[in-house]
Amino acid sequence: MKALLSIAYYTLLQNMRHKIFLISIGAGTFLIIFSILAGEMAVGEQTRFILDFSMAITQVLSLFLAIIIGSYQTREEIDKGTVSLIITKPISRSLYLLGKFSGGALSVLFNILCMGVLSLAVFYFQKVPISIPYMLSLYLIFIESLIVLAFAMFFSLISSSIIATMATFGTTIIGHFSRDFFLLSQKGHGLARIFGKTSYILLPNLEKFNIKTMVIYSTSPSLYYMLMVTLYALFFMTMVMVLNKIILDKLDIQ
Amino acid sequence: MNALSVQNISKTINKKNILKNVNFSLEEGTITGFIGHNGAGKSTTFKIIMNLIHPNSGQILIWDEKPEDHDIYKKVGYIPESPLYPDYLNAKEFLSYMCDLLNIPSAKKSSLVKDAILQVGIEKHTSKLIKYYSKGMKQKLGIAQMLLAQPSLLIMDEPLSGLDPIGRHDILKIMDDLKSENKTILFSSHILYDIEKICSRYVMIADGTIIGDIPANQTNNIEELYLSKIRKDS
Repeated sequence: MKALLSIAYYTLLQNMRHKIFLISIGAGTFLIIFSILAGEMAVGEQTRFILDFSMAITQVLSLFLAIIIGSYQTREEIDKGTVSLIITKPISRSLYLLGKFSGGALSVLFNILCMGVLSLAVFYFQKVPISIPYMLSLYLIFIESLIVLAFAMFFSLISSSIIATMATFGTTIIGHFSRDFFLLSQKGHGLARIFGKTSYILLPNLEKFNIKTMVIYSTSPSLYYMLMVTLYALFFMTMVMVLNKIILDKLDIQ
Repeated sequence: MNALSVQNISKTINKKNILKNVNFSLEEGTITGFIGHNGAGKSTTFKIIMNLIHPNSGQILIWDEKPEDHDIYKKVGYIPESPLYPDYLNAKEFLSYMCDLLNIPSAKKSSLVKDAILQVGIEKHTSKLIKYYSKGMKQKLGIAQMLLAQPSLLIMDEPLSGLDPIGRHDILKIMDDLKSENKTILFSSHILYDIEKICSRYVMIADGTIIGDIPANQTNNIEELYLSKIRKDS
């Protein structure tokens, strides 16, 4: 347990000391503050605009970080040989993997908390009502990012960091349009039909984690919905992490 | 008792036979030099010992136990050949991280880190980020992390490579100290003069095959012996 926490902590430290992380937080801060100015232009829709904009920024940056962290943190340690200092200690490769995932998750959580606190400050000064659905939307952005993080680690274990970044980006896009792909594929033929159906089955439907419209109209998702979506995320995370463990166990660390 | 037994290890990478039935063992308390040219299979052997690479056949025994239980590696210290250390950390943070991985209790951690830093002589640079360390300082840091759990078996892959004479002298001095503590050491080096100075035994490898395994007292000139074995082998 101590080793797991330590790997997670030092992974968080690694990410927080990285330029990309700082740039991402800085960009998020700028954009959320910018939403006040932009909101002024949306006459009569300021509240809606600020809410929508801040949630979108939080989601995009969290997914961006999950993709970058997942694609680079483990692959770089393997390629540079740093991993050989870690897994030659009395710990299993699974523990290492879980530690890296937990550290990545903490980094994404830190980003969401920063964006959340900043958004709440903007809401307070702009008199935007702070609602429970908004808090729930942050939670759903977090678990969506965890699925993306697990997929990014998967792609980074079977390819290079750059390919992993592109593949995870693609997976995230498809995940947000999987239902549309599926419906389109039903009308298509041959390869398009197979692609639509396969991606619908194998990849997570990330739109399940999008409750922005609900937040804007102050509608709260049901407890049942939140539970089912959490289980859905846990299922995908577990499946991908088990696959990651199998791959890492078989990998020769050169 | 053997601290380490390498038994019939073979490894093929990209259809090339990197190791062919490699066999040798280390008696407790001995320092063994692992000699071989570039690409002979030294690092692959070390990585197989440390479970970083899976052999196609054969097995490793550490104190007569298969290292399936990861806990056995608590007694084994390892320095890889030129690893990239986590450059976002300073030496203290890095060693503290390694202590956690070794499951060293928090109460003992700071004194062990301090001792290891003093032992390798990098106490003036502990708050500096590792990315600003010289090659010699990184090698010393590698030795410091290896010594944290006070292991009985030390596997050192090219610990002297790329060092200036002062750096080499410092590392050899540390190894000499470890020798007097009765540690079992396996280390590889291209510099046969260094190996000759410190080792009690030599294992020679060429093209993935062991070509010699002799006690140090059976030869006066390791370089000559190694070259003659290589020529005979080719």
